[in-house]
Amino acid sequence: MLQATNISYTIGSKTLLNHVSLQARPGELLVIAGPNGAGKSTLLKIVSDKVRLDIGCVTINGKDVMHHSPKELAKIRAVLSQSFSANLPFQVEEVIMMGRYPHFEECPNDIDHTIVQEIIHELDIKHLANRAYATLSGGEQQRVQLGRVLAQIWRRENDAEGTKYLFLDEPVSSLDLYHQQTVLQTASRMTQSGYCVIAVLHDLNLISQYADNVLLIYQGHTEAYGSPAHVFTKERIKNVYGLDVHLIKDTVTGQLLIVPDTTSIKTNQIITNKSHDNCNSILVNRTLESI
Amino acid sequence: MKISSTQRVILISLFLLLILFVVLSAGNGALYISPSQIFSIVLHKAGINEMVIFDEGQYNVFWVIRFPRVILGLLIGAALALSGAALQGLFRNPLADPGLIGISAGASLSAVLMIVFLSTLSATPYFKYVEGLIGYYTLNIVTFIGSCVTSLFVFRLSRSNGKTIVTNMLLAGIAINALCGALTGLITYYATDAELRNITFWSLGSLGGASWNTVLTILPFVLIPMVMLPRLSKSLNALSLGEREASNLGISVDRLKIQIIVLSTMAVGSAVAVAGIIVFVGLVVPHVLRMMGGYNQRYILIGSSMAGALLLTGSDLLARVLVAPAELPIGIITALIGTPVFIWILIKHKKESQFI
Repeated sequence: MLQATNISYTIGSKTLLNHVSLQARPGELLVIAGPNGAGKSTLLKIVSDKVRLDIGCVTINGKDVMHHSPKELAKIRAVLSQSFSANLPFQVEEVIMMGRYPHFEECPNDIDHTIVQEIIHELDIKHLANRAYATLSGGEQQRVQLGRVLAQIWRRENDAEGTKYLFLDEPVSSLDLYHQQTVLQTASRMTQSGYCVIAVLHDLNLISQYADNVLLIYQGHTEAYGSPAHVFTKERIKNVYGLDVHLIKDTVTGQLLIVPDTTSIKTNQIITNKSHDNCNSILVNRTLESI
Repeated sequence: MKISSTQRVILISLFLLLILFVVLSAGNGALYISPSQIFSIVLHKAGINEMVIFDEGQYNVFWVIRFPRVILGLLIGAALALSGAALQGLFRNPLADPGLIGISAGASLSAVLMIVFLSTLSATPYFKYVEGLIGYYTLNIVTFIGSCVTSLFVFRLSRSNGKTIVTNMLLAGIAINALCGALTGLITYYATDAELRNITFWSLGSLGGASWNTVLTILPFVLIPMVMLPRLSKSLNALSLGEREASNLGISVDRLKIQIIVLSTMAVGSAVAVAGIIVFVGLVVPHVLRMMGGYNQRYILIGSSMAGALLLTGSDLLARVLVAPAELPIGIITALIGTPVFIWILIKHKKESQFI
């Protein structure tokens, strides 16, 4: 289990996170949601990496994350970042193999090669396998990076290590409709086989479709935490995103649909919101560089 | 990452070329020694009687002058190119070279200081004592210390909150280079004509000071990085994903940075100390390797050592035979041979590398 207790994070005089707690169990897909600049990526960075905190602590499998060695941590958790280099001078297979680096010293063995093939199959990227990474489109690169991250913690039969964690920071940001679904289905299958997945997602509909639990954060504090149906109410979305929505139950799937009411958006409101967002996201990017 | 078959072919070819050039370079010069004579001289030294006849003069020229010089060329070429490759990997910037982090600037400044103030210094009793201890190698040792001090200084400037910030390091390197350049200029201004000539020759590089003593002095400083740096190739490959990604893969990025800076300074500092400034090798050799065989750091690091050694051995041969019996500064030759080769490869691979 991953447990983050009472996380507060301040940079300069700006409080980015204020007493946020979360816990994620094996088999759970937890989504961190919230508007731009709410502190989502900062929180993901804190729970996925060794970050020195003044207040609060993170434990993974019962052990304080600061006490895990980098190598140990690399074998139990993998992180897909929001931004990745677009011009890696390697073949796709080589990039995926990089995910196996924590598991071999000099040369990959047969298991590593098999795992790379299993991942190529899982993500349906056979047609990309022998291409140069730099020639792929943004969405294809994102899927290859996901492949690398999966390779890092890929579990094989009779593999007896404890719970493994997958952290995804906006994993579908460059993907088309179809691949958004396939990637989240992969994540969902991972949870079914005992992984714990923590993702930052923006699309409320995808969240309500896939998430077991949602942590909605707003201006650095927890706004709501629970199942999507519990968290996403009209009032709360209005309060957090400043947008009126209709909540509709899809008659075919029974899924909760969140549809924005565009008539409620005033032009000047968009402008002020936007500039506010930009300031925040610049600050957050700076923070992530410095921590 | 495994070394691909293309990369293996390149490495083997480099190795064979290297042997060829060692024999050529050891045999040619003011006194010609044929390859078979070289072979029997080496065997003779090992206690096996000669098969081909050679005379005493050839034996001495080979053993006292040529061979240590060839070995020194190999070591220095390998040191410069290897460090260049490692630093380019670390900075994830193809323009990084050993000069960038202040190694060469510090070496120049201390060398120029030594050359210009040697006469004044020699008068002091303390210096006489030190010189008595290290003798002929005073300039080399001072230069090595100078290069270590500046690169340490650049490294300190780039640290913040216990982490090394690569951008800061580049900026600090530029600042220290400018400062050392200005001070070097200032001292040069006060130098006499004879000292100026010394300074010019030093800054163009030469293997003229080669002896078994110099070879033995720099041997550990080059061999340790040659063994250690290729061991970091997996981490360097991962670093190309980005610092955060590498750290998520369990690599201690900060320790990696320190290891690479220390090992590179060791190699380049000692090379500059015995041979002066030899530009171009550290910057261009890794590029040529990448353009020929790809970006696997293991291949680039091993290949750069061999290609750097090859370039320097070849250049030294030309430096000695072109204007024999005089000799040209080797830095001129490395740039004269290397640049056309580099431009040729650049044009040839322009199309393929447009995505990279």
